[in-house]
Amino acid sequence: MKSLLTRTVLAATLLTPAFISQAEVDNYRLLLQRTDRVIVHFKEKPTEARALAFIKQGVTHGGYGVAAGKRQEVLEIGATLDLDDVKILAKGLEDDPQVQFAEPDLVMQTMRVPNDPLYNEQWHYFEPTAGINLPAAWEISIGRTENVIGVVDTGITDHKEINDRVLPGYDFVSDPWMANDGDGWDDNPHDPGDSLQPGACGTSFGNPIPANTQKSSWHGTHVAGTIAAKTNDNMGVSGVTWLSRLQPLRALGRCGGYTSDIVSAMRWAAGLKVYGLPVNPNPVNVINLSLGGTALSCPRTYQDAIDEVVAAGVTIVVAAGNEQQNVALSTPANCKNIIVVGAINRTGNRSWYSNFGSGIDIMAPGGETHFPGNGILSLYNSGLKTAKNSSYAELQGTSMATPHITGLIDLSYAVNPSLTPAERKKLLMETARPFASDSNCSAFRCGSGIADGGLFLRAVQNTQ
Amino acid sequence: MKLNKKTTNKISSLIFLIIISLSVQAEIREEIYSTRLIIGFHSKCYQGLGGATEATEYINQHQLSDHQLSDNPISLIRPLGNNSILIHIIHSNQSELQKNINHLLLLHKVRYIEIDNTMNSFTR
Repeated sequence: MKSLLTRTVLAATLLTPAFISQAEVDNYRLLLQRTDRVIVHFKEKPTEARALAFIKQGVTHGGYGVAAGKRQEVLEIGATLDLDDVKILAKGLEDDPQVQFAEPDLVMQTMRVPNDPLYNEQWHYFEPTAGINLPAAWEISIGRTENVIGVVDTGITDHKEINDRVLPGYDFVSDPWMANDGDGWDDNPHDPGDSLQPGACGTSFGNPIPANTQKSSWHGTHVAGTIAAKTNDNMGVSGVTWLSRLQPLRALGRCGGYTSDIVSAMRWAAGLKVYGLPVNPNPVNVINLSLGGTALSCPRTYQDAIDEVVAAGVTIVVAAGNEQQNVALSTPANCKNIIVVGAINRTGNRSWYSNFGSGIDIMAPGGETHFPGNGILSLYNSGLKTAKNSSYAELQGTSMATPHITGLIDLSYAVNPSLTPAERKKLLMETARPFASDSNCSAFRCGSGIADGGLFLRAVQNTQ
Repeated sequence: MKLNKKTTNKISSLIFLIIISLSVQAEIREEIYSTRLIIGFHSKCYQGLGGATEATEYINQHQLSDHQLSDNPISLIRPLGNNSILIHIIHSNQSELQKNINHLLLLHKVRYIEIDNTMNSFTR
């Protein structure tokens, strides 16, 4: 009942400009913690004399005659004060026998919703069943320009929705044929395409890999878009983080990428020394690994690199894999010291392809594209072999689920940069939404629940 | 048309050379493989060896003696950090490679040996 009396003073939808500085975000947050008005609810309609009495107590009649029988008034304090001070003032007003209650006129806002026209197709960000509750998360943080997110993937393509957010990265694909750019390691992480002819990657039990002609995946661009597509710019889609920067680390090419190149990319991203390269001038806070292979246990090459990277304060987020098998057989998802992400569909059930098992830490939307509109919408390219025009596409996979978590981890660095990767993981898992009773997921098969960005960031905020 | 003896001999020689050449090529394709291996060393041992080049040399010196393809079948690609190196090894078949790996794993300085497997993205 009390909440009905609280008037929403500011902002229906927050009209944030396309480029928001951290200072503006901080100012805005401060604004929410102060007010210059008190709402007073009377037992009966107040007399003029009573109003004068209030004036004596330090508030001015604001002239905001409110409906509801005129038993409620909004009084101007005459200065903008911290909420704690206004609560003391309101308590004083409640001493008057005619006053039923008094409370600060809180500055409210709606849940933060970006103005990107395709945002409402990105169910994976906001739907209560399977979304990651980003509007509530964005209330607390929209990232930080100083934050850097490493995406170890197929590289990146030119896209108006990401170009401004990209920092210099590196191409770690050492095999020139796989790299498809004429050489091995170089400083250009752009994705030249990874299209394949049947059998280009060899054979398996006599069957060609791939079985059919395969067009370029533009996988890295899609993953990058989920994390950091330009948001609230009245164009295209939204990304999880609005301010943080992205560093493309190309380690996958035609037929995949070598473990050795992937660990070199991870180490360089974290600011560690890598043979033959200068130290990364923009070390990352979090690394996204939407990749993997099959292994009965975590290779020591991976675990050594992971431990070293995590010791540098970097959180590593890894896809569980799409083989519909126990995640214990998928590497690097079967390594320790990382966050392992499985995929759910729009109904909150495990996506049919997602790996499962006690090795999963958390679930995030990976979608299912056989129902139109149920995939993960992000950035793409129209080229079949080489990059052509920037576009958008829905894809599905644990590859698509993972960047949702990577983005949330990035936001958590903006809220509190001093937590360790293990502390972030613990809070992420503790704040996850439990699976519905009729879900095909359980803690044993799908980890702690579905990631909830709002609750997670609030928990991170409370650690300060 | 009737071919004289000289021409017939020439054609026979040519066919013979082609067959020999093809069979040699086929043989080479069958017998030489190159695999990327990651070899990790115990920290103190790696430092004691002096670095990646020396570590590669150490591995070459401790090859199985019956290795048929080369005296130095291992070549360094690059150091990988974490006291490990990435190398190329040439071998004639999988069992020979596995035998060699098993042998090298017995060396007290070697912590692990892993094949540099390829990974893929997880989009369906």
